[in-house]
Amino acid sequence: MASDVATMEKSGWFRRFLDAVEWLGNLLPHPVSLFALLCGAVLVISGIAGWLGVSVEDVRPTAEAGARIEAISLLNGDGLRRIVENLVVNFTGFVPLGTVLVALLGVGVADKSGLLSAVVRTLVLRAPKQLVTVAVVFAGVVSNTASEMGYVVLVPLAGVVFYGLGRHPLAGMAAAFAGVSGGYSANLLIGTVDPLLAGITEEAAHLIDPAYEVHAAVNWYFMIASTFLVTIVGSLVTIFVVEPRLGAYDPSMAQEGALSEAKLEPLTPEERRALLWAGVAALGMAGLFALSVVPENGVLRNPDTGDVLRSPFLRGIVALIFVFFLVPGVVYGKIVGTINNDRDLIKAMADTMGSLGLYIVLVFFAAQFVAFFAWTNLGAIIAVSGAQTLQAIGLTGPLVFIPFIMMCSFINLMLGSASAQWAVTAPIFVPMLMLTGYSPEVIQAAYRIGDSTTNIITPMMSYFGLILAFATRYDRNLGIGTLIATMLPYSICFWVAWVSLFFLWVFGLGLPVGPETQTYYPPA
Amino acid sequence: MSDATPTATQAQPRGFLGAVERIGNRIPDPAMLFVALLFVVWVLSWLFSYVDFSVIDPRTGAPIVVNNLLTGDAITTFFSKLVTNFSGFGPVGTVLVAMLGIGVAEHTGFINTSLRALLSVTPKQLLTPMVIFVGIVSHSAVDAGYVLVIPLGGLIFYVAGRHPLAGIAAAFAGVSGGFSANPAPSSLDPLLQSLTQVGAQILDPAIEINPLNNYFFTAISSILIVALGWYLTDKVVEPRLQGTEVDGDLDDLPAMEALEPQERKGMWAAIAVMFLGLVVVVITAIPMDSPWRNPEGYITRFDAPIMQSIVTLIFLGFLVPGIVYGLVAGTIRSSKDMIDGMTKAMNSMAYYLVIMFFIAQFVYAFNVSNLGALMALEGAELLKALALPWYVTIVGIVLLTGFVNIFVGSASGKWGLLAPIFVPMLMTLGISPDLTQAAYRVGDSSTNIITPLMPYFPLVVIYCQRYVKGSGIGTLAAMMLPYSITFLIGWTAFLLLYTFSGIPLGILSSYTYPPS
Repeated sequence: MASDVATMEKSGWFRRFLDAVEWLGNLLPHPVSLFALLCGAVLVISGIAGWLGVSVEDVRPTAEAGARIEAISLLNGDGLRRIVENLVVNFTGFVPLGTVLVALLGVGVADKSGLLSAVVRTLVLRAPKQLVTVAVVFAGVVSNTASEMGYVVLVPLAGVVFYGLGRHPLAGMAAAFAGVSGGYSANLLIGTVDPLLAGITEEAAHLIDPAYEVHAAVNWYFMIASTFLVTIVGSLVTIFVVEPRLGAYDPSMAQEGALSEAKLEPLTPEERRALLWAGVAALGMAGLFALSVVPENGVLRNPDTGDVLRSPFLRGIVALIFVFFLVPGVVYGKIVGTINNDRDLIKAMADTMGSLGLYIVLVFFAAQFVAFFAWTNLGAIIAVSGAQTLQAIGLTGPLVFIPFIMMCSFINLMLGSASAQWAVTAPIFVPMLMLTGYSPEVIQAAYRIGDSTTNIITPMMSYFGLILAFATRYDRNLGIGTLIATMLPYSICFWVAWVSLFFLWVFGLGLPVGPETQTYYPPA
Repeated sequence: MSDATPTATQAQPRGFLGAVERIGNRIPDPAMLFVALLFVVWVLSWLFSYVDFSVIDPRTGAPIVVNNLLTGDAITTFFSKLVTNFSGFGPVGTVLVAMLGIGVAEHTGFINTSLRALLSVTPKQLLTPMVIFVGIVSHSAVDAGYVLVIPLGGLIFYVAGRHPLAGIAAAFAGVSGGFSANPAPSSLDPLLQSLTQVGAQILDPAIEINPLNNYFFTAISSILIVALGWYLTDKVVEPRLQGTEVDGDLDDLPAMEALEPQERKGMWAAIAVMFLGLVVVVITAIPMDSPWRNPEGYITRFDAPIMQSIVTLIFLGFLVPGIVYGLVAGTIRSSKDMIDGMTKAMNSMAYYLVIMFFIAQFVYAFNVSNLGALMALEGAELLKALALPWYVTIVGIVLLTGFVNIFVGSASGKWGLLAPIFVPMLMTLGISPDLTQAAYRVGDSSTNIITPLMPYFPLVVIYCQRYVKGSGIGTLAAMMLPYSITFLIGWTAFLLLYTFSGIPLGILSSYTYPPS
């Protein structure tokens, strides 16, 4: 892989290609306008599709026999009424809105008190340059365990770290974003998405074999290996492609007040003392959290099963993040004098909210677009048609996985949510590939490669807008094109490397993708 | 009152007002107040969960039980709901969405131009009522009144050869003293309504309150406020100011510029579009099978789509005319200008979001604990035992609100605190949430103009200093006191008269609970 990347970089054509992508992408209007226009486009397309009576067979196991997924037109009385009535609910119910606002209330206090800057300065002053890159990508991949906190905390922080080191802040954000989102399926631990996907896979497998069981950890081994792959590839792409392409950072591009005044100066003794106490507070919080979830009978475990999965701990992770940043932030601010009383504390929170204006505007339109698109059923129709096309090609042998993963990547550009996409495609792909002789576990592993790699280049992904809003702080003229062109090298390299790993792992070495899993169906 | 971070406090003044300010400054930030209240609710819920009450909970028919919020289960549920409590909290979504539209109208200059136009065509003797009226109208645009109308009021009076402080007083009385009067719906309507609904649902989870439930009352009240304010300004305040010399630096005054031709064109185009939109909504709502109506063909029921869509209509009703104005007047060159307007509006909501986060958590805890229901039921028992006539209760609510308003400025913050107590309590006495809210709004307005704790009060003092260097908090408070007292008495009397007359308070509102 490393040599591939190096050749691409040297040859220059890849760079010209990325420049073309950036130029084309930036011809698009402002992201907010783009989402507003997309909303309009969805209306028109749904009107046409509804008028033509577009529909596909409903393959989901819950559907009645012969049921069809029909395109719903929004260009009629019912559709318009639905839009007008739900405008507020679409917005407030859009998960990234509440999550980001609440988490940033806490993170904002840590930021404004100077704690984050002190931590970054301590960490960064001595660390070797490339180790920072690797650490950022790796932290991004692993952060998926804590649901979607990587987007809110890690990506902006990586920008600050890179800026502090005199590197291009967008490169840091890109590296973290690639780890969090491009490496969405890679992880060392079982995350929230695993049981969800396994459940869908199992139901789809029942279409062929009603007794088949798929447990939550079926892709675990492969995902562990993927974690290292994504970290290595992501770091290489950052170092050899993205950073050279971005060049040196010009601080005059930043939005007013976005860059912290404090450059990388060593900590004063007072800051050192404050950092120590903040560290003690953070450790105390971490200890409390651990106490609530590590013991078998911890209060934040799932009260019914005693598991960590679907436990209050994971569902309340945003609240915990809020507290985890708030308390050390206050401790630090109290000692260095940046937060003296409750008014300073509230002001720190309000200042943080005040920098989120653009994000809230963006989320408003993005939420409408995502909701409109879901109402029309167009996503499900495209997914089913795509799956049927692949089925019609009639490939057999391991190579069938290449068009399969491609198809998943393509559909992922339009259906952001992993489980929503799998829910419509699994009932076609899983039986089809089972009949070709592969086990549902392997099929699911392949699906997840396709599902992850294109997350970072599609504005349909719910947190794409957040990343965009963060990035415009460093470059106020940044458009969608720049962000996509920056992320595209990751997407392509992850795809190639990850698919190679898949073939090597499953067919080359014949290793199982997870505990107690088979490669072939029926099991040999 | 309006929600903004308090601006810099003045140097320590002495006397009665100084004492008020010093005490007021010891009260923590409203957001922290709710954090403290959250802890109080937790502890009380724990203590009261061991007490057996005899009051019957109308929702269950069994004696009311207070739920302990300090059990492991309750704490973990609280943690997992922290985000949805906030994002699903009514006042958050409705106000943000309405502000997205209003922000564009403000940024393009539509609101600014319309206000100037209104003031510039007014004959001299009608100057006072017009300034007050514009102040009242400016409520639709949140802060426009404070940053635009009040300084303009002083300027207009000065240009017309009258005392500038009287102009400031008249405008301030309209913007702030008449805070609850408004001929056009504003973002405050959905804001208070959603808090009222949260309070009412403590007793009746199915109840829905219309965002315009006080609209008729607040619209008609504007006439009252203009009349009272006019009389006071011309007969009381301005004569008293005769001895006050205008000695400020008058060179750097904000300009009351005449309308540019393209501003005028833009304004008429925008007003035409606004009117057209209204006509379209009305016409499409006329047929019995209109999609705006509910399945039975009623338009004024809660399940009628038009009633569910009021926030969206406010959003569009400012957004589209704002854009049209911008296009015609040349203030919008690309979609970026529109987005800037929205972004600015959202940035200005920062403090509001912070305070709403804490209120949402408090309201959730208060609700789940059943303490609100308990207080309402016990309080109602007490009121019943006193056997006060309902109008005395209403006057009590007005006076209490007016008193609390001296210390807690934020309208949403105050109602977030009072609604969960007052609304259900008065519901059990048969008084509707709509009437309780109307009483609250009367009390919330009148004392705004005399409390230095109102976030914009120091700003208005600075406006006065432009004309009269020696102006201080005392100058302004003394000047505004006549308005405050007159509004409080006159408006309360008006509310009672209004109620006796039986005219509806607003759309889908009632006087009694359950509605007769």
